[in-house]
Amino acid sequence: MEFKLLIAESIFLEGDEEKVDLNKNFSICYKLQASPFLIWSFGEKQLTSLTVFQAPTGLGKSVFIKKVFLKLLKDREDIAFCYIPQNPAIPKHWTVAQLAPSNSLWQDFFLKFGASTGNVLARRFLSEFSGGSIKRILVGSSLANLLERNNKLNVLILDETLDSTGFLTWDFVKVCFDYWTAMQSFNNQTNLIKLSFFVVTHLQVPPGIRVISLVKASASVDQVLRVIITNSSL
Amino acid sequence: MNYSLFFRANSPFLQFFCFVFLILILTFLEFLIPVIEIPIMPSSIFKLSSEWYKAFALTSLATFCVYFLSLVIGHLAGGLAGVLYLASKKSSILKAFPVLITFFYQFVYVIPFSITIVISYSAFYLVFDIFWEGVNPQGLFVGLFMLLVGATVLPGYRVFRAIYLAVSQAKEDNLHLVLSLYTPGKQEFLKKIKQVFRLRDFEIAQYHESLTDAFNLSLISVVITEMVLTNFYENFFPRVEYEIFLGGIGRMGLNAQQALSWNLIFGILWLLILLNWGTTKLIEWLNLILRGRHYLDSPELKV
Repeated sequence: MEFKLLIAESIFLEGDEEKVDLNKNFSICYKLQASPFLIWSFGEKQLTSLTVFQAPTGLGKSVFIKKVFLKLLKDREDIAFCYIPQNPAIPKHWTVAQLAPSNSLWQDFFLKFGASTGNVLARRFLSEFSGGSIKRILVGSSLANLLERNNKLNVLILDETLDSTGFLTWDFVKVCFDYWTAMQSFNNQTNLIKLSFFVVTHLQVPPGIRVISLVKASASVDQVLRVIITNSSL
Repeated sequence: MNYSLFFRANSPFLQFFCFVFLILILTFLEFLIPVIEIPIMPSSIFKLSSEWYKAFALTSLATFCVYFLSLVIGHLAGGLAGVLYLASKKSSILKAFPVLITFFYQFVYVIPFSITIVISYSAFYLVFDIFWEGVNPQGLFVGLFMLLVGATVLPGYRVFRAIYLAVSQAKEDNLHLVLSLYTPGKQEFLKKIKQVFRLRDFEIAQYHESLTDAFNLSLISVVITEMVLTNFYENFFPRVEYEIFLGGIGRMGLNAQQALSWNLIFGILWLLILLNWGTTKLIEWLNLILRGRHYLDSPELKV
């Protein structure tokens, strides 16, 4: 079974057969024998989009992201990306104020997930938060980082970051999108910039969200990755 | 205030008082049983003359100066090399700079410190003579320069190394996280500096250790400087008459060793140990209060 990573000139979007122009968009797909299998595309028309990347444990989702996805994104100057690794080590003596902008809208955003008052929140150390709250703070901080870079296309890659937030996960993603839009209005930005969430998760996904599954790649992950890394220099 | 911090098994506060208690016990035993009255006991402190205490005060003062200078130099050098390292990921031309800084610093570090002192002392006069021919430099400048050398070479390198290694050998995940998080500030250089110190935070134990090691090395560098340069403190306090304490405990210790005055040598050693132990425990305590306490396990957790 042969796998190849393609950065094709044109590929088929899942669901419809709209062609994606790579000069404007960025897409990655596996080629499984004859038919290309879409991994991810920037061919979204809406301001915010969510793609869920799922596979059984041990298949190499994180390896794929680090060795392939990030390498490809690094070569693209028009795309800003942030990546929160799976179970990152977190210096717990950092305060929220060090990770968040000081404007009121962001403070409100951070307040959404369980803290007392704004001023107190800014001075709180990460050691005072639960694991799930810390991860949401990291997501919020990454969003602020992306927004500040003011790039046309933005990707936030979360490697099982949201898994510890339980049933609130998808609500939290919605809050992120709402604030992304609100912040741009707050900054009086005329050209709205796009945000795409690329979420690796084991959670059950509600209907209406695009899910990419890597079930078929389980035959030989090493082989697949070797082929991918070789070809990623294209 | 969390008072449980004071009474943990590894609390620097508790360790310091255990040490002082040990000294008191030894002193008490020495007075109680005169047979064990030998020069190496803590009571030898009381046999020191006022000259020794003056020299000790000068050495302590110089050690603290060197320590604070080394913190500034170590952080500046580590921060700069770290920023260049991070910047070199985008521009390959910059790759050589952090390597060169590290190589140069490591080279200076491995040279025996007494040789470094002699060379830099001579170099100072040489350079001064080039710019101000025939003019003798003021002792104050010479003294400050030598303290700066002492701060840069031994303790400064220790702090530099802790910061630079945290950046250059950062784990891939940590690097990704730091680059992804929001960094306050408008200037790109300042942001990079903050990212360097965030990467340092991932290796916080190593950094804390470097801060205490830097104090030990400051003391060592000051005493070696005193031993190599005759009456070093005359640079700061010029006198017409010769005052033995202006040589610091390094020079006085050397004289005492030649006269085989074990009482004096061990007396000053006990004082130095007290200074060193007390200050390093204070530094550890500050590290614990500022950062370390966030990583402590709960008192209920027994492993």
